[in-house]
Amino acid sequence: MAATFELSILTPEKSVFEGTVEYVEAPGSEGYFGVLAHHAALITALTSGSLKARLAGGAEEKWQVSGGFFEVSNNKATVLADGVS
Amino acid sequence: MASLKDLRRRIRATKSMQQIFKAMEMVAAAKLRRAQQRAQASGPYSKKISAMLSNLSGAAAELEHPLFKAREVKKTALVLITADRGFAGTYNTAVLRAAEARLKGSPEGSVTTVVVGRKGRDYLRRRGYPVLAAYTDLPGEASLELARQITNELTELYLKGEVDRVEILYTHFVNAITRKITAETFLPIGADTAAEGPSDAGAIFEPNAEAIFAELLPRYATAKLYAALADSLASEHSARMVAMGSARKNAGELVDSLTLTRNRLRQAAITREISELVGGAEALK
Repeated sequence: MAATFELSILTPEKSVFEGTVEYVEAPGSEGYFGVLAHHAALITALTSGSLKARLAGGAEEKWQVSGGFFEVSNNKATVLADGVS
Repeated sequence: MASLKDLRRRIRATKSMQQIFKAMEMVAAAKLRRAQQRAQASGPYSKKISAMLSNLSGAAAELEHPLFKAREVKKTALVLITADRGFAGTYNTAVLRAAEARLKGSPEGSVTTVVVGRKGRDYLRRRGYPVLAAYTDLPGEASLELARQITNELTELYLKGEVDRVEILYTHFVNAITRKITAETFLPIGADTAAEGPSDAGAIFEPNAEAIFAELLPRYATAKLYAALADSLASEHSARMVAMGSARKNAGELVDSLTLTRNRLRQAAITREISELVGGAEALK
C-alpha cells in the first residue's frame, strides 16, 4: 500500500475536504505539480485549474479551484482555495 | 376610564402583535442557526491563513509589503458593521455607541467611517459624522463577495494613502444571549497578528516568499473581514431573537392585565344592570 498523507481543502466559507490521500495534483502558479507522501515543506501559490487527489485506496477525486495557496508541512497538505466547485 | 369597546380593541391588537413577535422570534432563531454554522465554517481557513502568515513572516524576516508596514497615523478609517434592519434590541445601538465614543475621543477629522448596514449609515449621517463609504442592502447571509469588495476598496484607500490605519468594529457572537463589541486593527496587517508561530523555516517557496506574501495579505484581510461579517450576522439574529422573545412576553402580560380590566368592567356593567332591574321591579310593587 502506498504511503499516505492528510489533505484538507479549505475555502473562506467552509471546509471542502478532509481526508487521507496518496497523491495530489494541483495547479501551481508555475505549472501543475504533484505531491506524494513525505514531501518537503512547501508553500506555493495556485492559479485556477483542476485539483486532483488519489484517496487512500485508489479512488480519485477532482475539484475546480480558482486560485489560492498550497502548503505541505509535516506530511500534511492544506489547500487554501479562493473558491472550489 | 377606557370603554369596554376600546379595551376589546386593544386586546385584539395586542394579541396580533404578540403573534408577529412570535413569528419574528422563530424566524430569527432559524436564521441564527444558519448564521452560526456559517460563522463556524470559516474558522479552519482563518486559522490556517493566520498560521501561514506568521510562518512566512517568521521564516523571512525581511519581507516587506505596504499592507504589512505601519506608518504614522494621520487619518483612521473606522469600519463598523451594523444591520440593515432594526427590531434587534441593542444590536445596532451598541455598535453605534462604541463608534460614537471612538469618534468623539479623537481630534475632529482624524477619523472617518466606512459603514456596513443601513442602520449605521443613517445614524451617523443624521448626526453629521463623516461617512466615507456605506454598504447597504446586505445579503441575508454573510457573503464572501461583499467581504472581497469591501476589502479591495479599503486596501485601495490604504495604498493610496488616504487613510493610514483601518480599524474594524463589530459584534462578536459569544452565545445566544451574550454578545461582545469587538474592535480590531484591520490594516496595516500584522499589528496584532505577527505573533511568533511554529515556523517551518527551510520550506520551499514557489515562486518565492515575496510573491506568496503579496498574495497572502489581501486574502488574509478578506478572511478577517468575512469572519467579522459572519460573526456580526449571527449576533444580529441572536439579538433579534432575544428582543422579540421579550416583546412577545411583554405583549402577553399586557393582554393578561387588559383582559382582567375588561372582565372587571364587564362585571360592573352586569351588576349595575341587575340592580337597576331589581330597583325597577321594587318600584312597581
